Amino acid sequence: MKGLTSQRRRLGAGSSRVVWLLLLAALAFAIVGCGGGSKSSGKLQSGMGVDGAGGKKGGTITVLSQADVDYIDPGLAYYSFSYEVVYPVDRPLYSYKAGSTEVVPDMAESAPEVSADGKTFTVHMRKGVRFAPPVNREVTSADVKYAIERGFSASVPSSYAGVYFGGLEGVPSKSPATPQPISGIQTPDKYTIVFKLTAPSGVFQGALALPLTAPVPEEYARKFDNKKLSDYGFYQVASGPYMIRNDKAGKINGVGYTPGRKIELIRNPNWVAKTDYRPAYADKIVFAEGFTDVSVMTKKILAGTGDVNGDSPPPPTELKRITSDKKLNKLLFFTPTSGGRYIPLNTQKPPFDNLHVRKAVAYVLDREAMRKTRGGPIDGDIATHFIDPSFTKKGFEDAGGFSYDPFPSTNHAGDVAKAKAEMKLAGYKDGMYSGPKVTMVADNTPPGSNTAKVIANNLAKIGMSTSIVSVTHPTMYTVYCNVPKKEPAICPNVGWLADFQEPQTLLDATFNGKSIATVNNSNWPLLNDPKINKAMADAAPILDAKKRYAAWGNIDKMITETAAAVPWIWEKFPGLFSPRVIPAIQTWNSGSPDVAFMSVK
Amino acid sequence: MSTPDLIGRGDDLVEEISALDAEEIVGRGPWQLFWVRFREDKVALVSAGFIVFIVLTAICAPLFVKIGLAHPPNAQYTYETDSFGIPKGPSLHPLFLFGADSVGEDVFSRVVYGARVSLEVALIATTIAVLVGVVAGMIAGFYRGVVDTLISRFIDVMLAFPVLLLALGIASACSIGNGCLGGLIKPGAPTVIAVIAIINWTYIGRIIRGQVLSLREKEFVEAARASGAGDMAILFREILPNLVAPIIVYTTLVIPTNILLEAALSYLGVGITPPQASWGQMIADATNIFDTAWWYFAFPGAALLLTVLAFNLLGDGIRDALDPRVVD
Repeated sequence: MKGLTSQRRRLGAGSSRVVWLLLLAALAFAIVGCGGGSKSSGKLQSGMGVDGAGGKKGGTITVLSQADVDYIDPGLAYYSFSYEVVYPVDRPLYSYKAGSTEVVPDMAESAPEVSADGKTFTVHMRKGVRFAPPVNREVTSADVKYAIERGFSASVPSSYAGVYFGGLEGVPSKSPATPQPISGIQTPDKYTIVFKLTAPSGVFQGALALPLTAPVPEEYARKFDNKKLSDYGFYQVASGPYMIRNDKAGKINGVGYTPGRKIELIRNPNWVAKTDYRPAYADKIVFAEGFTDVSVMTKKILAGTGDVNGDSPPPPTELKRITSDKKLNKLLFFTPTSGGRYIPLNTQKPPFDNLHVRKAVAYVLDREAMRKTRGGPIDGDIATHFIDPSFTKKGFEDAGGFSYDPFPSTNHAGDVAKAKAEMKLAGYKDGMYSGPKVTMVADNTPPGSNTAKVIANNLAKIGMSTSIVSVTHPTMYTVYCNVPKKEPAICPNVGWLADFQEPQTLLDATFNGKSIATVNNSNWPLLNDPKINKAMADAAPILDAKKRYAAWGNIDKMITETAAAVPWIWEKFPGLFSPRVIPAIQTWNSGSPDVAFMSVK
Repeated sequence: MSTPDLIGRGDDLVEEISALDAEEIVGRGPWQLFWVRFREDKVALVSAGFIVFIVLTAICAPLFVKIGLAHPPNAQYTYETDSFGIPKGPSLHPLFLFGADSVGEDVFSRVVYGARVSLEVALIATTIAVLVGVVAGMIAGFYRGVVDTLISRFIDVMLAFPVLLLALGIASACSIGNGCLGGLIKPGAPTVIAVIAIINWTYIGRIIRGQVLSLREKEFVEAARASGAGDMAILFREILPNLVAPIIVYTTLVIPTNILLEAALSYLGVGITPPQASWGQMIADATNIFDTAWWYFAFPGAALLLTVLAFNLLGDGIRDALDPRVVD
């Protein structure tokens, strides 16, 4: 799914189910990990609820970033930084206000009407929303239908169309070369769109807030989408308050968009404020890219010559300086990213096919020391299960919140005595492991390499010696941990981010036995527990949100207790805002800035 | 049979020496001559002393841990990093002479243990490279013809590869899974040794070939042949002793290069596997935080710099002392 902070690597359409925390994200956090030195004087500010209230119109906002978006086409964008550009420019059926994780109607007028059997979703759309030049006409339901259909074509290989919209009736089993109609999406009139599913789905509604549902005018986009690979992204038409600056023909490439250098948003002249909930304060927004030195980026923001960090956290020294300065500390906000890091243990091979050995590992790991390898408390909260705190009221509390911890220890520093007791239950004399060395495939750079070192050191306490294979972060995923045949006993550097605020997006692809794939696998522990599989099959179609969250919260507990994976950190992303702006954060998007809500003071 | 002379210039040397010591004519062997010259070279002596020191340190590494001067190299002390995970600097209480690294390991201990790895890898790899190079060079130079063409062209091909890229390629191929050649070359130190040996034998091979080409035409070789000596006897008993000087000089000069190559490979993450300590790897890990934890970068860096410098200066000293052309 979306990369956490920096560049996201897309692994092709086949990898659609997989959501990785990426190499650069890891590096970026490495840098956070080194931040500070003394205790910060001020309390760390939370990014939750930072909604940009009290802004006034006008001015230019500059977002600084290290790298470019993954795709400029809204149908392909699948990276948190790209979403910073997509959501002010395109209007999906549903979206989110700044500072919130609640879905609100956007292109839609109200919440969808769901049929009693949970298989039909009817969405009524707003009237009077118009496309930006050069299309200029009113947006209709056919534009949304086409937008989703193009995601299933080979020319617009969306990473998630199959995952979340694959349950629609009439979805082709093999991607057609160019967009083809899907019978399960119907448009009875200009402002109504009906989705027919083959089976009820609890996550479908959440998926309607993904950028794939943002309208695309077929009569204009066809010629681009009919190419082998669509270049509609370079000629895209906006429906939101902003548009990427284009020329008369609609071309943005080389006009408002220079890949790797800058993306320039100007007001969409056809936007009508009363059709939208976005305040859209600023007249112009510039995404200035290529700040490979995050230290320079930070200094520019503090000096007010840039306004916010778009894709990377400030570096160590700067975070230390900022958090220990009362005035500067007010400019920095820490927002939970939706997801977390955990240590999967290969449940299909000895020694971790034994529940007690896994439990011993869960007990012996020093999660405090592990967290320190990524920067200590500033990097996030210690995780004790899988549904993370960004899922407030959406499964986090159902899974026991911060208090549920089946493998407790003082200060999370590990409990060697309990671990040894579990080892004895597993049949090891004196509670000390006596089998062959356990293999771990880890990053060859900090912080991942350091985390692996800490784990190796911890496992030695129960007599488990490890051999560490050091590779790059992407190699770790694509060659080892994502390939069940080559999967080592331990993958210490993996993590998962949710696509949107539904607990199923955290747990299904990662722990459902049915999700195990021979390549691009993301069920890293290779967990195939019939009870858990069944509980998931039962929870997925529940339409009542509260019941659904409770069901998934319970599944979270079931998974945690198998110790198939040891969760250890729920990370936070630090957003730094210049003193000249009123901050606003896409809380739902891992703490990215929300430029449609930010304003110049 | 002739006495081994130095690079075939024995006659000149004798003249030189007799001019210097006209009064008292003492018969001195080449090694005595070498020692007389070497003794005068203070820089080389100091370097030799430093190398002895490093070697002793490496050998005694476990002793440091035993007497409490250092912690075990892979032991992690969480109290040595602050709440941000920033390591603490050099301190006496608790005793962390060179400070700690990002997982709270003792940098002093790791520098000392890193010396073991560096020296072990460099010495073993150099020995293998020199052995292979000398044998290949001698065979090529002695037999000439097709054998020479084969070996020399192969060396040319090897030399045409960009060294670091080749090393990186081989090392990364061997440092995953069970290693390469069916597990013969295991990841970690064996891989690094193999890589360095593969890359380095060619240089000495060439030098030796050249020397042998001229030596095989010398009178003492003819004499040996006339007295019925076989090829092997001539190669190893007549020619090889005359190659000792270039071998020694080359070896001392290539050791530091190999130490650096090991460090470079470890720095790039395809060398020594963690948690084993290695200077290159420490420097790589430290680069992220060198502005806040200078000790993590400085001490392994200094150890690497001084060791390489010492070997280089010693190599220069030995070359000067063995080369009769250099006159004080």
